Parts: sequence; C-alpha cells; structure tokens
Amino acid sequence: MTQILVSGLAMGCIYALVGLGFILIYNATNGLNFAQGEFVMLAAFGFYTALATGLPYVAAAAVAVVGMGVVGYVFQRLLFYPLRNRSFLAFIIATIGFSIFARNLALLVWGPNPLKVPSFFDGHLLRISGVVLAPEHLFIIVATMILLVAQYLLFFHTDLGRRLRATAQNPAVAELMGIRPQRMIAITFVLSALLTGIAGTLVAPIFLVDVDMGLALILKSFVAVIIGGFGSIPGAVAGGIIVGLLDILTAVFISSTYKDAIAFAVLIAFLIARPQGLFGERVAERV
Amino acid sequence: MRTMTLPRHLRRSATLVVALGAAIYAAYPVVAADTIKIGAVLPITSALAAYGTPFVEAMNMAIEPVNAAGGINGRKIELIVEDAQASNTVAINALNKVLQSEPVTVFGAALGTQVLAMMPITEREKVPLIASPGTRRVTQQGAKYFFRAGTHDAVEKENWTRFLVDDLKKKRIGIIHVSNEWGYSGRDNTTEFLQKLYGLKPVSIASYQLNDKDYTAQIHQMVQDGVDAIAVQGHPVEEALIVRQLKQQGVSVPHVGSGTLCMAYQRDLVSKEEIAGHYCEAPDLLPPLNPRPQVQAFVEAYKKRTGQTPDVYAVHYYDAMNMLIAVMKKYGVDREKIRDGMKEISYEGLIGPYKADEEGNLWHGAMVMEFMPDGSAKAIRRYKPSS
Repeated sequence: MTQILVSGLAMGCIYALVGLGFILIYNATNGLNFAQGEFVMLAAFGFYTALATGLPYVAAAAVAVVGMGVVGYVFQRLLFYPLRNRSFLAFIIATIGFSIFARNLALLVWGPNPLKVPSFFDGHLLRISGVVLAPEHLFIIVATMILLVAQYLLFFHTDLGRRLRATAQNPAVAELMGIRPQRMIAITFVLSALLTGIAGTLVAPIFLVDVDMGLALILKSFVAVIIGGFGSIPGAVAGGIIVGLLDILTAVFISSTYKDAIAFAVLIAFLIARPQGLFGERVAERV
Repeated sequence: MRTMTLPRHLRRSATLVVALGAAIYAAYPVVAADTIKIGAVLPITSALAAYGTPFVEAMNMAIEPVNAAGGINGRKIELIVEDAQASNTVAINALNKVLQSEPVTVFGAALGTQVLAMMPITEREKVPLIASPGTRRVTQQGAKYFFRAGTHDAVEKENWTRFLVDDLKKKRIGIIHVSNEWGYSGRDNTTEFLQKLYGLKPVSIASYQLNDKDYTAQIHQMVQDGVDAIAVQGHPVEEALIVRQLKQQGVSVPHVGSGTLCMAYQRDLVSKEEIAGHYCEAPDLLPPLNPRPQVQAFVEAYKKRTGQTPDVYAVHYYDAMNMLIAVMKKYGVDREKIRDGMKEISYEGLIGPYKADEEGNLWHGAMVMEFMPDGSAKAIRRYKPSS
C-alpha cells in the first residue's frame, strides 16, 4: 500500500508542477498555455541529449532546465508578446500550434523511437521497514516540496515576487506603480518553463522519453488545476496531488480499465457541483 | 455600361499568376510514367512511431538493390509512404491517399487494429495488402487479398502457454495487456489455450491504456491475486517499463513479454541488466543472435543505415518485400497476378521459409527466449504445430 501511495504521490507532484507552470502563465496573462506538456517533453529530450554529450548527471539536468528557461523566454517573445493586445483566444491557438510544432520538431530531431534516460539511482531500490520503494519517486516528492517552498518564498518574501504578484493582479495599476508589466510577464513565462523543465528532468528517468509524453501530462494537469481551483496556486498543487492519488487508487481498488473514465467523471462532478474547485474563488467572469 | 475590364494592377497580377502557374506546370517533373508503385501505410508519427520508419527502412533496403539493377523489366519500384499515426481514421485516410497512385500492393502496419480497419477497403479495391500484425482474427475475416508477413497470435500464445505450464510448471497465470486489439488478442488467445490444453483459467487479468506509463496498480493486482507467472502483451514502451516496475515492486515470479518486449530490447528501451531473467516470445530469434550469415549481414547493413539494431519484424518486412519482388518477377506486376503469386510461391527469406497457408499467413514459427545476463537470449521453446 505504501508503494501505491508513494507512486501516486510522485505522479501527483509531476501533475502539480506542470499545473503550477500552467497557472502561473494564466494568472499573469489570462492565457492558457496548451503547450505546457511540450515544455516537459522538450526538457526530457534536452536532458537526454545533454547526457549523450557526456555531461555528468546533475550538470546535464541543469543544462536541460536552463535551456527550458530560454525556450520559455523565446516562447513568450514570439507567441505572447505580439498577441498581447488581442483576444486571449489568439494566444491559446498559438500555443496549440506550438504544441504541434514542438512535437514534430522533436520527431525530426530525435526520431520516432522512445529514448531511455538513465536514472540517478541506477535501478537501486530502497527498503524501508519491509517496503520496497523506488528512490526516483521519493526524489520527485522531495524535489517538488523544495520547489514549492522556493516558489512561495520567491512570491511572498522577495521584491521580485511582489512585483510579479502585482502584475498578475492588475497590470495597469502595476504599471502606474513603476513596474514594467511586460518584463514581469516575461519573467513569469521563464519561471513557468523552468518549473516544467524540472518536471521533465524528474520524469524522464521513470518514463521513456517520447514525443507524445506531454499530451498525457497536460490533460491530467488540466484536470488537476480545475479540481484544485482554476487560478489558485495552492489549488494547482492540491489538485495535482489529488489527481495523482485518485488515478492510482482507482486503478487498484476499482478498475484499471476504467480509471481514466472515472477521473474525468470526477472532473465533471466538480464542474457541476463546485466549479470553483477546492481553493478557487467564485468568480462570475474574469475581466 | 462599362466594359468589364480588370483595373490595370489587377490585370498585371493576373498575368503574373498565369505565368507563374504555367512555369510551375512546365517545371513539374514529368512523373516517371512507368514506376511500379507500392504503397506503405504505417505510423510514421505518434505513440506508435516505433512501428513505422524502422520498417520503411527495411523495405527500402529490399527495394534499392533491385532498382539499382534496373528494376523489374526496366521499371523501377517506387515506395509511396503515408502516415497512419496511431489512429484508424488517419490510417484509412492515408490508405485512400495511397490508393490514388494506383499501387499494385499496399503494405500495412504491424498493428491489427489498423489492418482490420484498412481491410474492407483493400478487399473492395482488390489490392493485395501485406502486413505483419500478430492479432489473430486479422486472417479470420475471409479476406482474399491479405497476407500476413509474420506469425499470428494463436501460434505465439499457444507456444507461450505451453511454455508457462509445461516448462515452468506454473498454474496461476496473470495477464497484463494493453486495451486494444493487440492486447485483447493476447488475453483471449492465452485464455483459450489455458482452457483448451490444461483446463485452467487465468487467475488475474489487468489492462491499461496505450499512453499510461505507470503500471503499479496492475502489477499490484497480480501480486494480490497470487499469480505465479505474469504474461504481458503490450507495445514496446509499456513492456519495457513493466519490466522495470516489476523489479521496483519486488515481483519475483517469472515474467514473459510478447514479441514487442524483444522489440523494446533491440531498441535499447530496456538494458540487458534490467531484462536478465525475463522471457519474451517472438516469431524467431533476435536477429543479432541469429547465426545465419545472411541475417548477420542484414543486421550490419541495417545498423549502418539507421544506427539501430533491427528487430525480427524489420526482417519480416524486408523478407516480405523481397517475396513480393520475387512474385512480381515470376508472375507479373498487376494486382491479381501478385495475389495469385503470393498464394502459391514458396519464398526462402533471411530467417527461413515463407509460404502462405489457406488464411494467408506466411510465417509459421514462434519461440520463447530467456534473456541472459550477458545480453544474449537463449531459445527455450520453439513452436511445434500440435496437429
């Protein structure tokens, strides 16, 4: 049972990180980045390539993550900035286009075969009071906790964080206060890409890296942010963990065949009964 | 009334467009009127991309020497490839597109679900369809133009069932399978042979969706139900991950994977340390371990061309294309002659003899292999027809 919970919690942390990246962009720009899953995918492939060039493990991960930060900046510059004054739909469609582009680019660069990224723990297993656990799962959980604390400290205890929050709340007033909203938005995109990039390097060793890995993740993360409360950061995290646990507990105790159907049924139930999710505010319309 | 002349700038643009159109039309290469067209509808992209390009490469390896030697009666072979992705709908659209070029034969994917979707069209168009899916019922549809360039699942599953019960002496079999035709075929055939040969039932059956990556729940169910052997039928990524996760969950009962586990091993999705002690079943030996010199030569050439080691399915596609070429040389290059030829001819491929049975199955071998710690695979049980 512990194994099941740890595994579910680890997957939940991945959904939480991806969901968090998604919500950061949403809060700052009102735009939905449907290419968030591809950030994970590109980070995982980047990690694979960095390792293939012979870099030591941690350095390769760092390269992949920093690379994603750059991608996040370029992404924002090319896709968000020109469309910033148009309807938010324009940006959403652009991200869907980027998602298709990124997947096919990855296919051209890395080929159709899934690739294997070695694990830092090299197949060793942990035995804690009779229970066998995969250290990768524990590492994901610990890493996510650290990232969440770091994210909280950044947003609530630094000047940059205050400025980011101000821009997310009201860009016009923030501008009046001397904050440059466009720069804050760019930083938000980079942060989002970094977080999702870290998720990519965490998940690469436990999955096999393939071109479509982002799609499954974005779907579950989207469910997570809705259940948690769309727009709420603690909600994205809580939602991710809930989806991760729900997924595996349903598979174990109810049916592995229908677990996806059940997850979406839960989503529908939330949308009907409590559309603001667990932590969201009840807003009629976001202006 | 004003005469309807275009304003001057529009007239210029129109002239330009017409001139451009004429130039393009003229520059368009006169399509080599006389190539022999062979279609290929395989998943080049998507979650099943592993079933695409590697096999297209194998087919090209068969075609190129023939074209270099002048083709068949002076006509070169042209392979027209369309992407079927992981969707039957896309596969059908791809097939329709390929059929517009009037190919004499179409190659399909090693995926029962796609072949079954395409079959009504190829039967209606009376164009031979060659593919190597394992799914049993593909050759039970009464198709007249389909040839399976591989073994069908009933042979493979009978072999592994006998292996599990007779060789390993296991009675409590658990099955994990993917939720599609391939997975159902494994589940149903294994269940059928357990019942028919031994009067046993599988003790536990669990399934997963194609893009799932975590099988903790399914493996846990196997353990809870007290299986003493686990058989897995899925696609390469999942089979590789299941090997890893079985170890992570501390499962020590014997595990046999389907032919796709061998595929996964060849594609480096699972290391030799991870797979040591596990079993897989396949239509034949892993090509790099096959002592036949022609197979070794093919493996070297394939590695040089693609950077990857070929699995036995790549060999099947190579052999099937060469068989088709032999048929075209002997019987003629039109659909009916090809169909008749494919039914009659005995072809000696790289790994052995291909001969069509009444259903159109061309290859009749299967074996179960054990993976050794040094990376080799030992053949444990070769299929012997029971009748």
